Order: sequence, then structure tokens, then C-alpha cells
Amino acid sequence: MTDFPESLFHLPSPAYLHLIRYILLGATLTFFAYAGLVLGGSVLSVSTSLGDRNGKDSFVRPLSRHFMEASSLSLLPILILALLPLITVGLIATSLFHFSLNVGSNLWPGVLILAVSGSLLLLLYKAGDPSIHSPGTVRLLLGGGGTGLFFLAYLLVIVQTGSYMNTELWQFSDRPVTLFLTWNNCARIGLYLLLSLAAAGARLLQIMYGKNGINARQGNAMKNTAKGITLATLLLLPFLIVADIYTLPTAALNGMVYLTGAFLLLLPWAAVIVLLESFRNDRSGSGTVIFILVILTFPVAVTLDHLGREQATAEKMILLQEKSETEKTAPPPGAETPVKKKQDLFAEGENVFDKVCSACHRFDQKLVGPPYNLVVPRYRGKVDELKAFIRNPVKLDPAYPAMPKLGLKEEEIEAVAVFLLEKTRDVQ
Amino acid sequence: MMIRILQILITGYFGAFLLLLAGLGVGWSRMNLSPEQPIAFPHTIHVTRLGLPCNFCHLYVDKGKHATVPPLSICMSCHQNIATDRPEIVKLTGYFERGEPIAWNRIHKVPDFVYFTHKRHIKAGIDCSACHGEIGAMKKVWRVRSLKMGFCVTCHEKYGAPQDCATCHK
Repeated sequence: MTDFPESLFHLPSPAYLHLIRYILLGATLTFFAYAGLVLGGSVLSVSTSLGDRNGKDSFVRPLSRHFMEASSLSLLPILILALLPLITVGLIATSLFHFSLNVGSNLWPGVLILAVSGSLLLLLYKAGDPSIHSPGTVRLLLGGGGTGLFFLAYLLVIVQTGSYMNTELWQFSDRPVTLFLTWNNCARIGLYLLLSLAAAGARLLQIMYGKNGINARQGNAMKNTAKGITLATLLLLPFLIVADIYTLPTAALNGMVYLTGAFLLLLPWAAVIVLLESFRNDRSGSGTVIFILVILTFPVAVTLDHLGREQATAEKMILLQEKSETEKTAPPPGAETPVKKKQDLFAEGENVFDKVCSACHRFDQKLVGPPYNLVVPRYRGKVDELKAFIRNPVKLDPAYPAMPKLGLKEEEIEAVAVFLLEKTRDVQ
Repeated sequence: MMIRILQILITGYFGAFLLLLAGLGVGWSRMNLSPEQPIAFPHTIHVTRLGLPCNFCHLYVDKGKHATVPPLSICMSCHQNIATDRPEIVKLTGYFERGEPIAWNRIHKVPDFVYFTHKRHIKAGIDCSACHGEIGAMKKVWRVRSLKMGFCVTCHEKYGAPQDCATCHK
């Protein structure tokens, strides 16, 4: 997969860091739910068509068409609800994780190409439906190809977002197999794919409840097919929800993840109860309730991922925020450093002394380190040597512990060196 | 009637998974990845703000099997004079004056049947954060790595370290 050019991205400023993480959540919520519905409907439509190559079957042909209708695929929604969020997620994730946190193996450009081409083929597959009586090989190829490409894009989004919470594998990011092929990603792929099929089944059920003028026997058969698909997939979901949480990396676990997991189990449970009730009391509102319950499962699953990702990357985000603050205050590259007056340097040096050095040093008294009046005069006329020592301290006197590296900026080192030499100027 | 029975069975089915999940949650909380410590030592101040290298306090990390928790004398070499009025430093000074060691609660532990030496890993240039996470950004240290065999083997594979059983299971 090709990478975005790094020059397009900058380290997010601390103010926006928080905001873009929530934009990332919002975009993934939209993408997973809508793209899942499209994928589920397309898979069911194409696989149904495969069973009726001549297009003669009076049940299979409309069923395949209805599955495509259930996928809710059309040009504007796919642009707004799938491709636009995908671009947003890709850009933010690339900037935040790949260039700022160095996760490596960036799949987003490939995902976008696959999703766009898959969507186009699926739109052609859907558009061809009413005019052609027989599914035909070309139409099947369009549907199969489109579904395959879209499925691959969806799968890569799942594994890429999964890799962001597996911080312990980031150090092995030069080997994509290690980064992506994890038990947690396997469980999440299963979870989202089952949810996609359940959503398409539930949507078909909702559509069938709303259809008037359809042959009653055929309508019932389609409703039962939709109920069967929804029921079977919802009953398999708990295995994958528990597997997802069981295989989460240690760093991604917290109490909220378990609570969200419990909520994730409750939604399909409620959907199954309503679904069973519909066998006894076939009310037209059941379809909508089941569909809402199933489609709401997507945001809960995405929130679970989000909580895990936030937990796993909490420390990295703090460090990133600090790095970003430092870069913000640093002068732009190539900018000329203004020549400071000696009294300004002295004042700045005194400030550094108060904040950092005074923890261990006094001028006339031994503290953790030696008194300055004893050691600084050795550097008279050798300001560069003093700066080099402050920059990279080495243990000189066995009577004292080694001085740690202070991580001061170059201008701070210069200022404190001037301050120390000036303060000890009259020491004999 | 049949539907009612099925609904009860389904409730039991989902309830069983809920219980399983609750069990996993209890197991996780009992792992206690971030135990309370006798003194709230902030790595954020010492590592990130002051820039102290890890081996400034963990003296034997590059010299032996264990990184070792620093002796109180190391803490007191600075804290005899610094922040002496802070409650946690008052507690620290109390331990020091009583000559009582601090009973820190262990966070990172590999099983007894695993032979692990810090020295070998530091010499190979492995960063502390590879196994301990970003300690410098943790106000309270917690275990962020599984430290299971798969984790060790993946790393050994990547860096070409020996992978025969006897390397770690002596």
C-alpha cells in the first residue's frame, strides 16, 4: 500500500488533538454502520443471485433485489456516509498514528481505492437490476467484484483500527503480519461481519413489513427468510463479543470496556426477543424496532473499540501533547535567533536556575551536587565547555551522584551558563 | 407458549454470556494491573519533567538480572533538600529515619520458570518502554504489556535473539 506524503501532515496542536480524536470516533461510527449495511445487503443479494443463474426463479430474483434495496446503497449516501467518513478517518489516523506516533503499515490509501471501486461496481450492479430479467454473468461479475472489493476495504478498516489499540505490537510494525494478524482482529472481523448480515436481514424485514401489494405468500416467505438470517447472526454474536473482549490487549482494558461489552450484549438480546415476539404477534412496527436495535449495535461496538484505543494510547497521547507544545514554542526552522542582551540572558538563566538547578545546587553550600562557587569558576573563559557539560553531564567527582541529563533547550543552556559564570565572577 | 419458552431460553443464553463477561471483568480487576503503592511516586515528574534516566534510580538495570527498586538513600540524596514539606516526601523521610524499607507492590512479574535478565536486554538496546510502556507519562504505574510468551518470542524473532526453549526456561 502506498503512503500519503508526509509533507501533507503536521503534528496536531494540543488544542485540536482532543477534538480530532472525537472526529475520528464520529467518522468511524458513521462508516461502520452504513458500510456494514451496504456490505451485508450486497453479500446476501449476490449470494442469493448465485442460486438462480437463469434469473427465472420467481422467489430468488425478487429476494436478491430486495436484499440490494435493504443495503440502502445509492450514490449520495455512499458518498456522505461511507466514503467521506473514510477519507476523514484516513487523514486523521494517518496524521495521528502513522506520522505522530509511528505505528507503521498504513493501509488507508489502499482502503480508499478499494472502497471507491467496490462502491462503483455495486452501484452498477444495483442499477442493472430492474432492466435485466436474468442476473447474467456480467451482472454477477459486477456484484461479486463490487462486494469483494468493498468487503476487502471493510476488512482492512477493521484490522487497521484494531492495530491502533495494540500498542505492544507497534514496535513490530515493520512486519505487517505481526501487527494485523491478531486474535483480537479475527474476533472483530467476525463481529462486524455478523453485524452487517444481521443489519441487512433486519432492514429487509423492515422493508417487507412496509410493502403493500406484494403476493402474501411470497411476502411471508421473504419475511421468514429475513427473520431467519437476523436470528441466526444475532445468536452467534455473543460468542464474538466475548471473544473480542477476551482477546483485547492488556493495555486496552478498563472497567468501561467491560460495561460497554455488557451493553453490546443487551442490544442483540433485545432484538432477538422482539424478533421471536413477531412470530406470535406479527405487527408491522416490529421490523423497525428490530432494525433500530441491530443498527444501534454498531455504534456500541465502535465505542468499545474507541474506549480500548483511548486507554491503550493514553500515555502516548500525553507525550505527543507535550511534544506538540514544545514544537509550538520552538522558532520555525531557518528563523534567525535574535541576539539577546547579556542582562536578558542573565534574567532567563536565573529563571532556569530557580526552576531546575536549585533543586540540587546552591552557590555556597553542598547539597545534592557540589556548590557552584567551587566548580563553576573552572569554566571561566570556557563557556562552551560549561554548556557542553550542562547539555550532556558526565560524572566528574565520585563524592557526588551523577548529574542527570536535564533536557534543557539550547537557549536555556546558554542563558544558565551566562548566569552561573556571572554569579561566580568574583569568587576567588 | 412455544415462543414464550424460546424467549426464556434466549434470555438464559444471553444471560450466560453476560455472566461470562462479568467473570472476565472480575478476573481483570483481580489481576490488579495498577496496585496502590505505599508512596505515590510520580514518574511523570522524575522521568518526563526532570529527564532523569531510568538507571539513575534503578541502579542495576544494566548490571544484573533485576532492575531493582532504588534504596531509600537514593531518594534521600535529593529529597533531603527538595520538596521536604510535601506529604509523600514526609512519608518517605519517615521510612528513611525509621530505617524501614518501603514495601512496594510489584507490578511487572514474569513467572518463576522464566529466566529473564534486564542486563542482556538493555545491552541489546531494547528501550525500557518496549516492555513497560510509557512509564514517564504514567502518574501511577500500571502494567500495559501481557508479558506472555508470544510477546517475548515476537521480539526475539524480530531482533534475531535466540529462540530455543533453554534460553528462557533454564
